[in-house]
Amino acid sequence: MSEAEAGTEDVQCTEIVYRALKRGWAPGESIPAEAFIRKVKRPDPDSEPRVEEAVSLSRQKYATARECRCKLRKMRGAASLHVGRVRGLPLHLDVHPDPDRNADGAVVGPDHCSLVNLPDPVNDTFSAEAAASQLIRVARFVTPEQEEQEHQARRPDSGAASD
Amino acid sequence: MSTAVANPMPYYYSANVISSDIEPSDLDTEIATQTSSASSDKWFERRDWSVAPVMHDSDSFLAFLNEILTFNSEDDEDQITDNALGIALFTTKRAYAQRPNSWRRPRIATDGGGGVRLTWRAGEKEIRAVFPADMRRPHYLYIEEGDTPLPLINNFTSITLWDKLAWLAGFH
Repeated sequence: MSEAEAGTEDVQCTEIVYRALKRGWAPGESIPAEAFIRKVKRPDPDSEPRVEEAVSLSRQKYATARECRCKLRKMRGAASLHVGRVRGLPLHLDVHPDPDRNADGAVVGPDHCSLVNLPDPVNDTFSAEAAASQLIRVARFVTPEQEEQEHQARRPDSGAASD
Repeated sequence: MSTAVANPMPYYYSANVISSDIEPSDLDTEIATQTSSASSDKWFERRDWSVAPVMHDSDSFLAFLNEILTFNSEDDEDQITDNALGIALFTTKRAYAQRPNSWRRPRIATDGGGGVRLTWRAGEKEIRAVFPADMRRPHYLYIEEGDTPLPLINNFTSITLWDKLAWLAGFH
């Protein structure tokens, strides 16, 4: 039996996943709802809106919060989610492995996974907003100190903190 | 000697930073009476809007204006479209003009597709005003208190927004 490629195995309920945020952590602030709402894309002004299928997350077993945040430009923070708590919400949400692959199909980003079954924000706006609220309640901001601490512990050779 | 007339035009003309193409007509209330699910939009159907605002809390509002108008310069890939910006400003300016002391500066974000999301939070209360880029989709207010969401308000007007901001501020 061949060994599964890293990142293709099922996401366990005990795992932690990260969501990159455009807003950094500040005391007393709540996580923004848009972090857990599927993006509505519109390639041009006359085209029909296209809703992304899922929300991207990073698996802690493969990436630190900082690595999750730094994968995309302009991300200022990250939130953590316990997969078991996400699955425990009465929303039928799930987290599926969805590793990034190169043109040859080889896994290059084993940390990437997808939060699926989120309501469609165009056709079911209320449910999409309400689901985001429930996710906010089980998510936690990763503070700058926590991010630094985790990164230094898991990537001791990576050098000083960077943005 | 001529006497200078200080700003004879209504507020939304004189202080119009963005929406020079939007007429200060009854469009807002007309749309509301036809489409809004908020009862407050029906009650104030004939309200006169051409009232100059008292500029209490003006710093907060000006900071909001500055932030939203410069938002697109921050990130090339995360832009607010003119459509969404126009209606968001049209609505918030009128809401502010109606009740400046209820105004709070919202958090500004996009929906990832050119729309704009404004979020106000106070304690357990949260208001999300969402203005999609696609004009075929309604703009809406999502409101919750604690774990309890209230019914979504589609095509809300500035009247409803200030009513909800007053609720957020604890005026009722």
